[in-house]
Amino acid sequence: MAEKEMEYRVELFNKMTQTCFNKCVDNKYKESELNMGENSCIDRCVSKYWHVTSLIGQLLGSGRPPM
Amino acid sequence: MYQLEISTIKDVRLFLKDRKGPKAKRKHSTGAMMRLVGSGVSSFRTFSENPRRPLIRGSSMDKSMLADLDSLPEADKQRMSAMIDQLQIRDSLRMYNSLVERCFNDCVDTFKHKSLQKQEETCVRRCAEKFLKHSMRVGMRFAELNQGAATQD
Repeated sequence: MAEKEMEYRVELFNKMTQTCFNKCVDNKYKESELNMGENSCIDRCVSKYWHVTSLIGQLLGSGRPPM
Repeated sequence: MYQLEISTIKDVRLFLKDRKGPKAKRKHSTGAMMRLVGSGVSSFRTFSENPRRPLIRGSSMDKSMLADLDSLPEADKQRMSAMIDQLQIRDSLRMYNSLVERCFNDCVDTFKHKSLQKQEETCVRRCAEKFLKHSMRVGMRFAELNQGAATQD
């Protein structure tokens, strides 16, 4: 069970990383550093992703499919 | 803090630097990509032989992100620790593959030449560095949120 929990966390982290990179970082790669805009975007993205995760957890946990 | 050191990206850099020699013409893009993977696999082998020296910096998957180990009894701590090491090995390799795929897709578009062009090389380098920095930052925020959630409960 704890193993499942940890696998879930790893998966969550990976998906979060992939998703936020796609949304926040331009794929022209003009430079190798993250600029200020990208940094704030990443922070906000992670925060929102986390909220979505817990929201969905609540919806699923209430025991019935959301209509 | 389970600090991870880089060896894969260093290998990529060394490999890309090597390519200026006379043999450069014979190498081609697929070969280049395979060698990138190959260097990663050999680094991985070194890693699996000596897990104290792990694979990729910036995957920032330190153990506190996954579980609060200090609150466990000793035997459980060992077991959890071993489990986390396993997960990290698997995850490092997966991350390596996805990074190669991503940078290849974003940076390599034309196949007029067999070898990687200068700007493609630069692009791949930047892509990898950027993604690693991004991954570190996400890891930081993720750990913060984890801590926050833990205290909230």
